[in-house]
Amino acid sequence: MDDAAGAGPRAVTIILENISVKIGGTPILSGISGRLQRGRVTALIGPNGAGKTTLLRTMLGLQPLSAGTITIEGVSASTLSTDERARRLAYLPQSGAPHWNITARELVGLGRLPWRGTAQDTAVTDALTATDTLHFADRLINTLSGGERARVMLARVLAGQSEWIFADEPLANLDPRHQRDVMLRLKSAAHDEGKGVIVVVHELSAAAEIADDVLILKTGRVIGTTFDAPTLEAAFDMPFDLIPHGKGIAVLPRAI
Amino acid sequence: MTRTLLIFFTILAFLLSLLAGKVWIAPADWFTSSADGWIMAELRLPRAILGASIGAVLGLSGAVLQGYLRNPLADPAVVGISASAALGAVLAIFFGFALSPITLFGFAMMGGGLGLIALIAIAGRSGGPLGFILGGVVLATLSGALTSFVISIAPNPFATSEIINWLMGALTDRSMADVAIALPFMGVGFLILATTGRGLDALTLGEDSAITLGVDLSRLRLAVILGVGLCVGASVAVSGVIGFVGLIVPHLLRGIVGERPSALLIPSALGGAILTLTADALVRLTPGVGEVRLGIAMALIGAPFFLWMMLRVRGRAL
Repeated sequence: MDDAAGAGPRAVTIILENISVKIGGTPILSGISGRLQRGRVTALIGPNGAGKTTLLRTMLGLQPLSAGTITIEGVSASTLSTDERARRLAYLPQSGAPHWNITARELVGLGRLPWRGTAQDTAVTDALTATDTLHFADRLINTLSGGERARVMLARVLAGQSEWIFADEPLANLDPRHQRDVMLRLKSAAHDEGKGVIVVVHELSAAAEIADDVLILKTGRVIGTTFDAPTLEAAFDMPFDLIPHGKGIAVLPRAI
Repeated sequence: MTRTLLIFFTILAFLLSLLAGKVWIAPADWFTSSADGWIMAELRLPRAILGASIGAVLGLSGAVLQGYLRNPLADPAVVGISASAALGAVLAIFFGFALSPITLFGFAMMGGGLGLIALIAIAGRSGGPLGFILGGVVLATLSGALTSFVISIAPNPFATSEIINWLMGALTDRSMADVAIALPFMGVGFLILATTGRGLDALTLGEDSAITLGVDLSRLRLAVILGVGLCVGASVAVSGVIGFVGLIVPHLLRGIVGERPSALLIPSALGGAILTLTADALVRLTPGVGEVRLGIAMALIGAPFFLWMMLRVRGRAL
């Protein structure tokens, strides 16, 4: 991670400089700056309406900037071609229910579209194996449980072999066991494969466990980059207790 | 496997279309200079070619539109191009320009082309499927109203009946000249639509995901409008309005080849050709002097099927 520290042209970071986004005249993000690194998991934390999803969509080029710049590994995001962006940045949206009832393998195969690939690519089988979904690869999506489907959606993103993964609430509606599976998979993508992983997480204990870095947002601004009780209290307007628990910490809302 | 079967049945339907009619023509007489040979070369062959190609482009257009709008109930008529092409043809008949197939076709293509430009202007470069449907509904309504207006002011009952007859859609008495003018437009439209598979697949995951998978949505929309416009415009111009092929065929095939939009495109083209050729051969066999118009026959099959499909989609309760 030597070159990650430098801000040179080859730096493996996404740098946000003073970015602002307005939707229909309403400011959603105001003056956000930050640095996201490859090989690390960055969690976006904040109350509903803080602008977490908008920030993800902005970095992916889905939402135009009204001010500021985004630099992706030394290159201005606005100069990336559609293809290049698609190959380097993958998006796991919050509500990704497919419109057609296709098989798990076909769905994962969609992750190969930026490479003009198909569901027969080895990357698809690799992604199915990595998410432990290979044994039901030929089943239709509508026949899968919520947990199975979430893992298939994750496999779709992994199949793209992108350098960056942006996941919007990948743990929502999963039982603890499946939350653990998805978290470990995302962690391994960052730590073992050197991808940059950016996740929106609402479950604060899970955020504490998964994140190497945090960006804590409130009303469209970054109010902190450290995971501690005062920052969380400022973000959510309520007190929390951070309790050491096993290898991690449990974050509990304090009874008032 | 499925594709091989579909190709086999397409060839079979094409041969059936050549054989069947008020006069059955055995293959031995196809290339002779007898009356049967004349019927074959001048009537049956162009009719079978048109039936196959119109069915193919309608089936393909339906599959592309259903994939693009992510709605199994979408139909080429949704885009409003068939209505505007029909208006063009009706004007040609009204003003008495319909004496040759070329002028009728030219008027219909002009109507379809103007509709296409209006649709691109309304659906524009921004906006999702909603703008597309909105533009289509506006176009279809306006063209339909103008068509009714033209019928209401037709100078004599003969013109009225000619217009109404034409609107019903048929492949009767089409010549090789019709084939020669319609085929290039359908061919270009077909090729444009055949390139949309990747974008349609990506849309399975929604618009945001499609963009992050590298799909240019405004280019995809333009390809869909242009391709469907050329295919449907040319088919209406040469045969009148034949509905429901584009609705039924992709839906039926979804159960066989799966729901992935790109996997559905070529099978839907083949299925559309099979359905249209078979239906057209059957209407020729109706007893009596005339024949049931193909457009009517399709609607008679299509409407109950549409209702049944609605009931299924809504979970068996209206």
